[in-house]
Amino acid sequence: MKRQWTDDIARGSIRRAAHRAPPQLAARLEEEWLADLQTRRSPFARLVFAAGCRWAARTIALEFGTPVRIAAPAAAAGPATLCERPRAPSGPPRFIFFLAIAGLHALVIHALASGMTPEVIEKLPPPLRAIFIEQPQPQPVATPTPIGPVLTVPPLVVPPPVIHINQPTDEDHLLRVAAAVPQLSQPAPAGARTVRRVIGGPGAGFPNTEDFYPENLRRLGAQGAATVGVCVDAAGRLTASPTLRQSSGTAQFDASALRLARAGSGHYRATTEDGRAVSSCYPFRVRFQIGR
Amino acid sequence: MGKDQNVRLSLQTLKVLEAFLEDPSAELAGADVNRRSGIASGTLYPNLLRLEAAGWLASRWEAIDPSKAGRPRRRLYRLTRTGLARTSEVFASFGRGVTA
Repeated sequence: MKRQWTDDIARGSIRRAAHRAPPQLAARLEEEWLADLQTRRSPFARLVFAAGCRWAARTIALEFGTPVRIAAPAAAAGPATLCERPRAPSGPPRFIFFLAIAGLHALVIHALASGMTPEVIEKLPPPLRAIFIEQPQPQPVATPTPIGPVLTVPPLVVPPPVIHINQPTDEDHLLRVAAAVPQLSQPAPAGARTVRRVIGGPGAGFPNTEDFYPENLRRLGAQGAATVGVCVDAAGRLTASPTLRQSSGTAQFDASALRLARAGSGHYRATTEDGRAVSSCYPFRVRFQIGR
Repeated sequence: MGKDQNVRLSLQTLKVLEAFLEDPSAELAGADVNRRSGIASGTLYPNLLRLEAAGWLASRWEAIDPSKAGRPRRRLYRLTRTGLARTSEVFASFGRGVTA
């Protein structure tokens, strides 16, 4: 049943499409397309085929509307002229449209000429008029009287703080100082003498710390400081291998500090005692800082 | 006149010709060409008429009695000698030979 009505639609569509083709081709196309329609199995395929035929008829009409010679069929005597380009369709819709426009023009002209315009204007709604409405004055609001007993808050009285300070009196202090003075003023033991000792350190020509800065740590922006102990003779030369007194926390900084200390041998400033250079051991701090 | 005209070779036209080249001596109905080339009817039939008008294809009605067969006659198309030669040239220019 379904196939029946879709088949009818497809056949009808193909017939109408074939008649839109040039007249000399209409019968041929109709029979050809109806024959090819038989090969379509499903109803949907038939409808699609019929729709395609409508499009084909439009294309053929546009392309073969002017006289075109085609190869003759085997049975025909020779090439045949197909047809002239079909004229643009004309019919009632266009004519009715024209009449409607003409009638509308006639109506407007008649209305203007016969004085219908004032009536139309009278029937128009009156123009809008603005009305200002007085805003009511606000009534004074009476203060409500409190309901119930009135609570009174007594003033808060804060007693002054009492601070006790255990400070020694002047007398106690003087007694303690007096007891301490005899101990400080005891004479120095016999034979002892005061030596003015100046601890040495890196001297002139000592290598630059920058030359021993680990390159990878410099790129990382790492900084550190290590304390190295050195033993130096009176000429500023190392008398023993430098030792690490306090680590920087980074093994590379520690190793670089020790290398720096070794490289600086001969450039240390010796420790002096009463102005005389002596051998001594002392620590010094090596700082690795960026942008110093 | 009109036997060997130039044809605007669109992709659809080439597909139609390719369908005929599968067996250059065979006669094909529009439905057969549609099956081989996959071109929809809206494009197929104008192309067939165009090629026929240019003399590349020839067509004839199927030799049956529609009343006895119970169906309309099919229109059968075949490549003409000119059409075969021109089609071979076209496909040879694309680097594809044709054995005719």
